[in-house]
Amino acid sequence: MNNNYFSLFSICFLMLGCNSHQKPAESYFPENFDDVSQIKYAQYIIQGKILYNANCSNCHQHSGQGFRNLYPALIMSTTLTNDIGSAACLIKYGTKKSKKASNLNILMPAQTELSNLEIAEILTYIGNSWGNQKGFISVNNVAKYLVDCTPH
Amino acid sequence: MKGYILIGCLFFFIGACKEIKPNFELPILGRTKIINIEVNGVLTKDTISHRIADFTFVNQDGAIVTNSSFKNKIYVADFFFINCPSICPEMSKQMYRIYEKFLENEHVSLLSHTIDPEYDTVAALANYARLLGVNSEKWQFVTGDKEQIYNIGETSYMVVANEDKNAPGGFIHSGAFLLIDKERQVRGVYDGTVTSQVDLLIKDINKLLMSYEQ
Ligand code: HEC
Repeated sequence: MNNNYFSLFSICFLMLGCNSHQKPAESYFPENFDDVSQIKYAQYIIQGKILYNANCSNCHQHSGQGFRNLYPALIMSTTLTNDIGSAACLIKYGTKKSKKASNLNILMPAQTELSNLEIAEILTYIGNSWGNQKGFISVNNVAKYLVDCTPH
Repeated sequence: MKGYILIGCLFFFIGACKEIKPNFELPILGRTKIINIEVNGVLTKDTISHRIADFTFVNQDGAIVTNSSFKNKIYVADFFFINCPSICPEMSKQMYRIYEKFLENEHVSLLSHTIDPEYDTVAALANYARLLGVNSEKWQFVTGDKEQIYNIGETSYMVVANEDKNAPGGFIHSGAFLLIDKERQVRGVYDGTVTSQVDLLIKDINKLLMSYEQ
């Protein structure tokens, strides 16, 4: 029994160890968080990076610099800084297709399969990397943002 | 036992060495066809290699593009569509590397076919090329009759290109880059989403260019 606890403890310890090891160098870590918030924040950032690299980096690139004028850079993004709510909508529902928008636009695809938690993790990662300093974006924040999205 | 393993390894290495031929010529890909021809009044058989079929498309400037647009040029071809969510952004990035590498070389061209001609009109392709910042002398984006595009993709370039409701973005297609020589023959197939494959393609372009200089 004791032994079981010990292995469980070791696993947790190892996971934490790994996590702190992977702390992305490009990301901002606020210092005024208490320990619990620190850990939660770090987990969001780490998970967000994995999700970003899997779902977004083909267009926006691994270091957020975008590609030519086709895919915008997320470095110092004004959308992320000033209107993170619309960024949440964009991630979930893609570029809003207005009826009269010509065929000329390059669209960001919808990723409706992403959960609120995943979007929160992604936003926490990109909102605090490459010079962005948006702080922690929680699942609850995302849930609120998504209510305000105009469906399309 | 150890001895066997050693001998096995030795064979393996020798085998591996044989694979590496530093100056081998690029293969001519595709099935060769046997045709009947008349030589000095006698009917004999000859083989012809697989060649890119005749095509007529329209590029981002609204200009007609045919095989003769690539006369005396080698070119890299691929199939994409503007709002492809998955592999095309990476393909564009890799193709752009080739563009930059051979920008000054008039013997090298790039040809991207849209497989979504309904959406990717001439104006949309022009906009795409503008955002990418490339010129139509070097890199042509073509649209045209959908059947002709799918058909040439499958039978000439030997890649998959088709509509598929279940695929991301509604189309199924391969991320292949094809290297075509001045004789309209396919000389190499590369994965346009993999940097190392495109490195190899760049090397092969140089190799193919050299073969015309000799
Ligand atoms: C297929 C390419 C593609 C993918 C994949 C993609 N985006 Fe985008 N993204 C775009 C394009 C194109 C735009 C600009 C058009 C627009 O704003 O609607 C954009 C805009 C954005 C913006 C707004 C930038 C600004 O400053 O206005 C953010 C933020 C963003 N994307 C984040 C993401 C995230 C996070 C993901 C992954 C979940 C992602 N994108 C996946 C193509 C893509």
